[in-house]
Parts: sequence; C-alpha cells; structure tokens
Amino acid sequence: MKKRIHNLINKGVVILDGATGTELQKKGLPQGACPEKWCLENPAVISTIHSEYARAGADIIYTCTFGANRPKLAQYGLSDVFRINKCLGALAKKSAGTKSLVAGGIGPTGEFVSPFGALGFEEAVDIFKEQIKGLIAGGVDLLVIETMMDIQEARAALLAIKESGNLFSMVSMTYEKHSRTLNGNDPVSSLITLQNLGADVVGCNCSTGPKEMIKVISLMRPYAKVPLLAKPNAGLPRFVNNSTVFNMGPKRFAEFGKKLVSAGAGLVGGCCGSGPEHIHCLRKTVAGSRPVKLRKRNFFALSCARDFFILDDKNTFAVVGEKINPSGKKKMQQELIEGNFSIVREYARKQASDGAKLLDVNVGCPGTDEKKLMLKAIGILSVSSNLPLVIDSSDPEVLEAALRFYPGRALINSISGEKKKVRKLLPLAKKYGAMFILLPLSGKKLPLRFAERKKNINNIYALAKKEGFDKSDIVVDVLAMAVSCHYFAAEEALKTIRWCAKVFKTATIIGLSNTSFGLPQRHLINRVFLTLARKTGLCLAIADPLDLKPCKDKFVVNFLLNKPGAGSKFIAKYSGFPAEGKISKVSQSSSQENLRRAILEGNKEGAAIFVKAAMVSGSQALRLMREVMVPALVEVGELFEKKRYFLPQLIASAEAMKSGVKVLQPFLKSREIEKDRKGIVLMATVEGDIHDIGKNIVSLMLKNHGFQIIDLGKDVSTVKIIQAIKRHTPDIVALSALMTTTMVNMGEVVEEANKEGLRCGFMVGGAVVTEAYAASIGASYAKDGVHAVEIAKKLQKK
Amino acid sequence: MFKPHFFKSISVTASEENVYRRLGYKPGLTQLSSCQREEFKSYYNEAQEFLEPKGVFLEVPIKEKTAEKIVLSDGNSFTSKLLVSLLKDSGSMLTIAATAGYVIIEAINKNQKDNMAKAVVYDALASETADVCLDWLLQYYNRSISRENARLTPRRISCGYSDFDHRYQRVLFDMLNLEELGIKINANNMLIPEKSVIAVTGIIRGKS
Repeated sequence: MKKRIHNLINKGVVILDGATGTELQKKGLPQGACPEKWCLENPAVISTIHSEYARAGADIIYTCTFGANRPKLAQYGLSDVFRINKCLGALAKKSAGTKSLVAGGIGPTGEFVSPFGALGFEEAVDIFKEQIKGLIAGGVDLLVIETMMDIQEARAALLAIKESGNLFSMVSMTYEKHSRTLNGNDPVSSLITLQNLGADVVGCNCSTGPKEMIKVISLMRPYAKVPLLAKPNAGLPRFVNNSTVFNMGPKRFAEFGKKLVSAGAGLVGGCCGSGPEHIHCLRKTVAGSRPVKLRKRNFFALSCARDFFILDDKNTFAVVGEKINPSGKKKMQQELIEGNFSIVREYARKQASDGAKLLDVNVGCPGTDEKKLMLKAIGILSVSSNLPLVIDSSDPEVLEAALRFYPGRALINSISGEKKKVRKLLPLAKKYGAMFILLPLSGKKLPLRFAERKKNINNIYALAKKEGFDKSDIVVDVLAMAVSCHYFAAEEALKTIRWCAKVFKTATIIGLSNTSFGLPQRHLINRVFLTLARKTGLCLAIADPLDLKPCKDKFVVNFLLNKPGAGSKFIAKYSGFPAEGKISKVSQSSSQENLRRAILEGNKEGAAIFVKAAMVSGSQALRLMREVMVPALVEVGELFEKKRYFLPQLIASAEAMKSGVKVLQPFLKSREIEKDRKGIVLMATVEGDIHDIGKNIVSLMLKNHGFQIIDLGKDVSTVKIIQAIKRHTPDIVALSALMTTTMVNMGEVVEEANKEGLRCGFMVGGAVVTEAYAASIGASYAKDGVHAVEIAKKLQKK
Repeated sequence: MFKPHFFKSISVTASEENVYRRLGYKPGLTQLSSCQREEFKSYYNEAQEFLEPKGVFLEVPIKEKTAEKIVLSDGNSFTSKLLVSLLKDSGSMLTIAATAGYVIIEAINKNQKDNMAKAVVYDALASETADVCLDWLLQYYNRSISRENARLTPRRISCGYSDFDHRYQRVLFDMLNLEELGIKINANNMLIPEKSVIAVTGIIRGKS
C-alpha cells in the first residue's frame, strides 16, 4: 500500500477531501453532541459525506475519527476506542468506493504533551496506539495526524504509527497567522523533526485560510525531503448570528489551491467550511498540475520545538555550548544530586546569549540516575531554551530515552566504532531521526595520526550507511588532543578537518580547549587554533565563546603547525605572560554640563566620572549638588510629568544621581549634609501585600532629594509599623499597597497611629489607591515617584 | 469529567511597545535617545530569558443563574452582578490562569538593588507576559471549540473587578489546582509568584 500511495503522489497533485465537522453540522449534528458517536448512530449521513467527496474527485478521504481518542471520547462518557475507530474506519472504506483511499484521521487529545503539558509522553503514545489499532482493524489505507498544535503530541502520534506497523503516515500541524502553532512551533522546525522521524508527508491544515497557508508551504518547501500537504479552511472563520461561518466560495478556494501547488504543496484539500463543491472545483483547477520537485540532497539540520539550526553555504560555522556537563563542576554535581536544575537553566541562558547555536547536554554524575536526570534536563531545556540539543551520554539506554522524549531532531554525542555500542546506537539514531557525532575510535586506543582516524571514519560510516544514513547525518569529531602531550596533535586534527571537508564531504566538530591543555595562554592558543581550523573547513566547535575571536599570533601558529623550534620559542615568549586585563580609560573632562547630561540621560557611570572630574577641576561639592545635580533631577521630573520621559528614564536618571552623590559624599562637609538633609521617611508595603517595586522607586526618588529613608520592606503588619514610628519618630510615613484587599490596612495604620497620638504625616500610593481613598483615611496621595517627592516636601513643611 | 488543562510552557512574546506603554511610554510624545532606546531594549531582550510562561484552563457548566448569583455544576457559586452579566448568554464558565514564573521575580528583586530601571522593565514585561498568556489560553480554547460552532465571550474579568469579590480568588485557585503550576496563594488571596493572574469568561454555544 505504501508503494501505491507513493506512486499516486509521484503521478501528480493528490486531492484530499474537505471538512467533515462543518458538513456534519449542516446535516444535523446537534450542538454539543459527540461527532463520532453521532456518526455511528447515523451512518448514512457520514457515508454520504464520504461518497460526495469521492465523487468530487478526492483521492484520499479522511475517516471521521478526529476526536476518537481516549481523552476526547471520555468527555462524552465513551470508552470503547477500538470499536469506534474500527467501525468508522470500515464505514469510510465502504463509502469511499474503489478510486479513493481512506486515511485514518488522528486529531489532538486536547492536552499538551510533556514537557509542554501535563500529559505524559508515553501515555500519549499509548493513547494514539489504541486509536490506530482500531483504525487498522477498520481497514484504512494510511494514517493522517492532523490539526496538531504541539510538536511533541505530533511526535507521540507519529511514533505510535511507526510502532504499530509499516503504515504510510501524513502529519499536518495547524499554524496561526504568524506562521507558528499555538505552542510556538514553526513550520521549518516541525518539518525537520517530522520528516526525520519518518513521516511520509508533512504539512498544515485548518486555522487559516488558503492565502495565509501559502506562506507556510513556502517556508517549508526549501527544506522538504517529503511531499507537502495543505488543507486550508474556506477562509477565516467569523461568528455571525451565533454561528461560525466560512465565506470563501468553491471557485475562489480552488484558485488558491493552484497557488498552494506552485508554492510546493503536492497534496491539497480543504478543512473547516469547505465542502464537496470546493473539492470538485479544486480538482478541476489543479488537474494535470505537477507538484514542485522535492530536494534530492539531504542536508545538515537540527531542530528543537521552537527553532532549528541548518548548516549550509550561508551558515558555515557554529559554537556548541559545552557548559551543561557536571564533570569538574562540584556545585553542578551537588545540584543534580539534589534534583535541582537551576544551574542547567542558567548555563543554557548564558551560552545562548554568548552566541552558542547548539547546547551539549551531559548530566552523567556519580550516584545519580542519569536517565532520569537527562529526561528532566531535556524537559527543562526544551521549555526554556530555543537551541537544539546535543545529547551527550555514553550510556545507550540514556540515549534512547533522551531521543524518544526530545521534541526535535537531536545530535547524538557520540557514536564510535566500539562494536557493541555501534550496533545498538545506529538503529536508535535511525529510528528517532537523529544526527550523530562520529567519533573515530575503534577500541580504547586513541588514533593519534590522521591515517588511523581516516580508516576508523570510513569503517563507522560504512556501518551507518547500511542503516540508511548518509553523510549529511554525520558530524566527524576530529579529535583535538593536547599539544603539550603530542607536539603533532594540532597538525593531525587539521589534516582530519581538511580531508573531511574536501574529500569525505562531512561536517566536522572539535572540542577546542583540549588543544591548549597544560599550556600557558590557553585562550590565545584556542583562538589561534580555531582560526586555523575554521580556515581549513571546521563546522562546529565545542568551545568557550571567549575563544571565538580570530587571532593569528605568529608564535602560536608556528607552534601549532609544529614548525621546527616553534615550541621553545612559544614557551620562551608566553610562559609567565601577565594575565590579560582591561585598561579602563577615565575621561578627565570637568564640564558640569557633562554631569547634567549624564543625569538627564540616566548615565550612571558617566555621572560618577563627571562628579570626579568636576571635583578635580575645582568645583565646590555643595554647589555642584545644589546647582547642577538637583536641578538636573528636577528637570527629569518635569520631563516625566510632561510624558516626555517614561518610567525607566526617570529611574535611570535617579540612579545616575545616586551614583554621582556616592562619589560626591566624601567631599561634602557633615555640616553641609545636615543643612541639606530633609526629613525621615518611614516606608512600608502594608500587611498582606507582596508588591514592593513601586515603594522602592519612591524610596530611590526621595533619597535623591535628601530624605533619609527607613524601609521596613513588604507585607509589614500594622503593629510593626506603629512600633517603628515610635522608635524612629519619622516626619513622614509612606505606605504602599497594590490590591483593594490590602489597601484597607493603610487606613488601619493611620487610625492606630492617631489613637496612639503619634505625630507624623502620612503619604499613600499604589495601583488601586486613589486621592479620595487617601483623603478618607487622612493621608496624602502620591500618584508616582515624582509626585511623592513633591508631597513629601509639603508634608515636611507642615 | 471537567478537569483543568495545564500548559507547562506557553510560547508567547509580549510586544515591546505594550511593555513600554505599561511604563508610561506615549508614542509620539516620549523622547528616547538612541542610547537609552538600545539600553531599554537590551533589558527587554535579556528579561525574555527569565520568563517561564505557564497556564491552565477549566470549563465548568453553569447549573443555575439568578440576577446576582452563578452556581456551577461542581457546586461552587459566586455572588456577583458583574459575573452574571458576563455569563448571561453562556452555558459554561471558563476559568483561566497564567503566570510568568518565579525566575523573573528573582531577577526583578536582584536588579532592584543596583539597577532599578532594569527592574521596572523586567517587572512590566512579566506583567504583560502574564496577560498575553491569558490571551493565548483564550485563543487556544477558542480554537478547540470553533469546530463545535461555539465561542468565548469577548470580555474576561478577574476577582476584584467591581462586585466580583477578591475572596473568590481562592475558590478559583482551588478549582484550577494551581499548585500544579507551582503557584501559591497567601492568606490575603494573593497569588505567588506575583506575576500570576486568574480570569473568567463565558462559553457561548452557537445554533445547531
């Protein structure tokens, strides 16, 4: 059957059927009824729909089993998944006639699958297997996974098909207007993942109308090794008079069908709102069209759930982040033992921001369950990072679990020629569609010379080829070894890279820092070696981003290339070389205008520098403060009031002021400080409220204007505030609350203070606080930080 | 039969413009130097790494409606004219919750010590993200019911709006089993981490 379907696709554009759900609604499916159950009770209706599509010219008809999985049926109190699928499959077969094939339709469960949702991955696979078993028993010719929003759910369904027999499979995801699924999966990543996992056709359906779908097909087309499918809605849905309507007529719909074929779709049909007439017109319009030819050559592509990495002419080099590896990292080891993954997250973030394009993940740690840790790490990284993963483990069981769960196409680190492992790992890599790093080892002995490595590479590749791999599925590790141990190590690695690039035609990877092990100036050596390796054709480096800047230091180049006498010259030059350091240049400008501008522009560093410069040039500290800094801050306040500045600018200026005052402080005489000092402000976020950023902003503003702040923090009880008022005798008490429920505690504080006869001004603020509320409790209202300074000054005068 | 549907990672991006609007940015009026624009943009980009948007939804049929009260089929009831008016055409109530996660809160707190400007951009992004997550949940739900000729009410409300009492936050918290997402609730019915929100809306089924 698989061959027959391939032949059908090769012959010309394949026509799929149109919508089932909206057709059933037209024919009487009651609101809120289970479509599958209703079809079994009204077989003539669904049979008619299938037959109409067959007559309209659909080559493939979908069974009405979109929601016939365990969780969906359970919503209607149904549990006989096998029987329902079998009966609906058989009914479709009977109705489709002899010309049309029947695809068993598999829709989403309504849950996102782990790590994106609560449904366990294996549970999802089992759910789909149960449905597939029924569909196969019903006699369907192929299976179609459709309307998927989550790549992990699509993977679970596809694996369920693969593990249920040798069946032709089509997978279509549903993309929103911005060409991503609701789970954020983009068409190219999904295509890379699914076609390598074994889908025979990949595509998209539902969500958008045909116009929007052209873009999705065009995005996938350059990377598609399998035919592409497009099954759009008949326009975008609108809710009119309590009913969903799709308003694209058959002719217009069919015109778009032709455009979809030109964009790259080899199979076209309709989704919601399309009926037999749409399919009839589509058939007529695309009749005789030949699908766009698929790319013949395989290519280097890795994916994660929400992004992908492709190595090609435009993208010739990438760094693999190496930090997620506990070896030699005690803190990380301890965290992994405790099941804590905060360092893993942190390393992922850091490496991504430093420019890594892939993340190596190794969690092998003595005294732990590596498989469990690896699955947890993959889950966390799949959710928190958009970089494809390199799964790094020497344990085949760990690798299998990881590949099965990973929601993308992974790179295995690594497969060597070790007989037992290579036999286990190659089929695993194939089953899950992974790429792998070929480690040119045949036993435990390291091949020191290029000739041995070449032999090992050829041997391992021969085995991989038998499993169905080609050279674009492989990255050769060229084995960088320490030059301090083997003077020829760099030279041999470069020879291996050159041969792989020019002759063998595979990508290469290197563990960069190995080369400089045991030598001084490691970063310099790494940088020079990477420059040489990239020039020779290196594609990937497991490296520290500090080592990426190109460098051609002559001493290091000669040393690495094993030139006569270069080793001793290198050592003579660089041993005892001082550590590289930053030479900071401080501006000597004493312009007060610079200081004013620094505050206006929120330039913290500048403010500190210009205060220093002003003092050096003879400015008087108090005058600098009164005549330059405070007026600048007041100007900022005015700009904020006029909405010329927004909050981050106001705060940046306040912080610049703070930084300048810190430098100025030692120059101010204590008498002068006292003279300029405003009153004491006691600040607190009231009991029950945990929001304090607003209070902290006000605190910063008040400090800059000379107020002394006593900050009690957040969630502070009335009793504690009253105690603090008694102890510190502040001039002003400033209270903050964000919620209506906690706002009332401000009134309680004021009331208690009055009862106790405590004399101080009260100022309140926060998102829900209003001027009227403030007045009602006998407090002043401050709408923001600038206003708070104004109010505080007024209260102080009182 | 009706159980919460959890999403442990929601793929959403809050727009930079909306984040700045929350901080008082007025297009055409607020003046930003290129240097400041770049700096704030770097805060916005950097903060994305700390977000862990998650969410949950739960549909529960409405058993009874009076002029002031909604009684759900699970036995929970809410006295609120606002809620009654929101659900006037609905047969079910959809409760949704979202959070921006704990990591961003840690980052906000950390930055408040030495870079308050960064902290406020982080803070606004976290708030906007929680809101965008709620929109995402509604979009997801709308997608899943569109095949059933149904839709959601155009508006959503949260506890504390008008007469929809804040104490119902705890009832909704329990209904959604928010602990599954690591969210907690304090004695004052505030959600922790603070950039977490709960909202309700109605489900309107179309004509058969």
